[in-house]
Amino acid sequence: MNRSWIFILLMVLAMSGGPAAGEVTLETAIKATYLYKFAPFVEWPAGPEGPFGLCVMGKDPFGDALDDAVYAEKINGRPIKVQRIKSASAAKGCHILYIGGDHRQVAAALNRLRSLPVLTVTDLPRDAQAKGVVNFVIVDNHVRFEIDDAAAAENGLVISSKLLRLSRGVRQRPTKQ
Amino acid sequence: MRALACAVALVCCTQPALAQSQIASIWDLRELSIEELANLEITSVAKQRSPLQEAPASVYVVTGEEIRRSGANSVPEALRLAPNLQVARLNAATYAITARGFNHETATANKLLVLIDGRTVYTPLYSGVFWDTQSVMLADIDRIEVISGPGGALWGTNAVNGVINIITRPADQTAGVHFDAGYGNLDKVVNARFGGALGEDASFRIYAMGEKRGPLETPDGKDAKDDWQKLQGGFRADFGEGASTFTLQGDIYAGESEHVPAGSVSENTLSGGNLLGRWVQRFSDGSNLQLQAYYDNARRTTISGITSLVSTYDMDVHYAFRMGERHAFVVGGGYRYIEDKFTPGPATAFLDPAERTLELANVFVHDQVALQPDLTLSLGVKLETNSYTGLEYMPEARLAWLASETSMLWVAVARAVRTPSRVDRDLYVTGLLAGGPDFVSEDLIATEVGYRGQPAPNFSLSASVFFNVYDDLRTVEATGAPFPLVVKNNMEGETYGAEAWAVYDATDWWRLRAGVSTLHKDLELKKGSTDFFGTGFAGNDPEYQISLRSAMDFGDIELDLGLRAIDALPGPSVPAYVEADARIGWHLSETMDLSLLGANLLHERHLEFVSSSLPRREVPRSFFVSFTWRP
Repeated sequence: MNRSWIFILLMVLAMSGGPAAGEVTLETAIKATYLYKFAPFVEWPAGPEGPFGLCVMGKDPFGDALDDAVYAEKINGRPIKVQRIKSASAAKGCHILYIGGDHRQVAAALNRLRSLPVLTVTDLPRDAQAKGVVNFVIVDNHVRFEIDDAAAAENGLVISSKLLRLSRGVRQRPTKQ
Repeated sequence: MRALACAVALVCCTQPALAQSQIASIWDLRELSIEELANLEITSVAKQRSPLQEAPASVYVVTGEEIRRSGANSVPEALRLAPNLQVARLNAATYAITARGFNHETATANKLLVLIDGRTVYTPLYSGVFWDTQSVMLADIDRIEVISGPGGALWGTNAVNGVINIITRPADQTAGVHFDAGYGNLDKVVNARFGGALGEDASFRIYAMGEKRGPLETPDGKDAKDDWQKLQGGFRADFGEGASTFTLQGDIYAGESEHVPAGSVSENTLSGGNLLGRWVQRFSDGSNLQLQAYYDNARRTTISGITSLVSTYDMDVHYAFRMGERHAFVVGGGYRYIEDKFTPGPATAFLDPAERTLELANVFVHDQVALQPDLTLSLGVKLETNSYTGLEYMPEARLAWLASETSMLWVAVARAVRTPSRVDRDLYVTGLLAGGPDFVSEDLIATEVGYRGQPAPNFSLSASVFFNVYDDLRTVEATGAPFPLVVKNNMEGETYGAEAWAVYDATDWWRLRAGVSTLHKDLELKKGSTDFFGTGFAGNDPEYQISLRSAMDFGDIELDLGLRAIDALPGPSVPAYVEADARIGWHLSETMDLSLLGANLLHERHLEFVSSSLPRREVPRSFFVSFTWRP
């Protein structure tokens, strides 16, 4: 397999003269990369034009890694805009929203985002009560994800069968709309 | 790139899981399809790898876990784990630590830049480090980055032979209570820390630590009475979790020697404190801005009546941004203001003027250019002015080539500078030494070549070779017959050597590490020099150092062994020695750990370094039992 842009951006981090911000493990880097790669497999309801919003709410485990992952990338010709927001009310313009923090904070946020056309992504244990439309899981030393298609339907999103096949566990959407 | 990703997607199901070793950074992950991301294996080795280990420089990262496994209970002992550092203990409180040579106690290794969480800790008195001042709670250290080689373009003056960057964990990673206490014949240590949340998106920790160190032994095995003790406390608070974060941290400490020899004018004491604030702002275009300011205050007194007081005020700003697809820039600058006051004892050397303010200001620019997908060029320069010599420039160029998916070759050329310290310019001994009014900066032009790679998934190797050309090294010249002596820059020369280390996971419960470093020095006096002490005075260094470490895990038991062999030091002479450490760790329960360390086991005592101005002290065999509780 070909490598491509191998920026040794670590020297950039080293230079900050203090704790290097943005150093992440491979696991976190993979999750950061997944976020925008979900987009081609999801259909959002028609909305205003403008950049594609990729947002992080609550505890941000990605740092610079997320900005680097989406640098110069586009979704359907739209540039990707990374935003870090503090509350659900600022989630307008977010197409994909990663919610960090403990399960209580995440549950509260998901409650407020119900029915909004946002692909919510969480990183909680499988037995958590409230999870996003997509939830990261580690299976056998691989970073995978499970999908709550019923919640996607509630938010007005359509998830392609390809992504559902790739997931590790799907909660089906109701067959009647 | 996209087409390739699609083509690979067709064969993704038949490919073996791509190993972590083949991924260098997030830039690789971007090129993968979602199926390939799902096929990536994350191993425990990956979690321990710090991205800095992929930089085109000779860098060894000592992780917090490696420190714990070694049983080290102080920062200098933890630094022994870096194969690219020379660490030698002179007495209970004094260590001579350097990289790539020039370890010299009386003027002490002055070619190393040491930082703790971004705060510079070398003293402007002689450009070296008082290691007894630098206590850090080891359990809260995230990692220590040890860079051997010049770092002037990034870090500024004094980063001539290397940079040591001690980085503590952010407050949200040190929540809860941590208590550890240890007892041994050489060390008695207590550390306590409490951390928690401050509202929604902030966290803090406070800690206190007490240490009693020594005594070491005289060459004939008697108590050297050089034991000392210290108390330190501090805090760290991190605010914000998103685009804007702010960190505030501070420490205060006080310490003293246990014994005051008869006839002493005063006591050996040290005390001080520091406060640091750092603000990082991340912008939506991926750039980030960092502002940092700190204040540091350090006071020392000695039994001969000398008192020194140093206050440092420092401010730095960095801005990192991308330009186009190929360039990653960092630009920035800083200003440091140092006030020092030095009071001599009766019949000792003195500084003239006794009080001075030093100002350092710098600007720098650094660009990382992706010349090709596998070839990166880094260019940078730092311009610094200082109160003694005015403007200095420190340029560097580094080229990194990804020779294969698992290996990198790099080459670097850089200039670094050590600007004068008080001891170079302002030191007087009546009738004997008349300062150094013409002393200018020492300079180094270094060329290095290195390799870093992972030839097998369980084996990683790093090696570098360096050739250093020094100019204007300090000499002490005879002016009369021969006194008074005057400090000048009449030495020059070359040093060269190699450093290499490897990590091998023999099984998933047994990890081996090996390290070796060599050094050859060719120094000479310039024409017409009347240097009094000779080229040996520049540094007392071994020609080789070898270390081996083994870490084994048996369920709740850990067994760690270390062996080191250090070559003889030429003058003042110290014989070559081989020493070994052994540690057993018991994970008693979810919240408690016990550890038993035997250090320097092979000999009753051994000599590591000698200074002409301090009594000879040897490091005895020692044990250390420690208990850790984390409810």
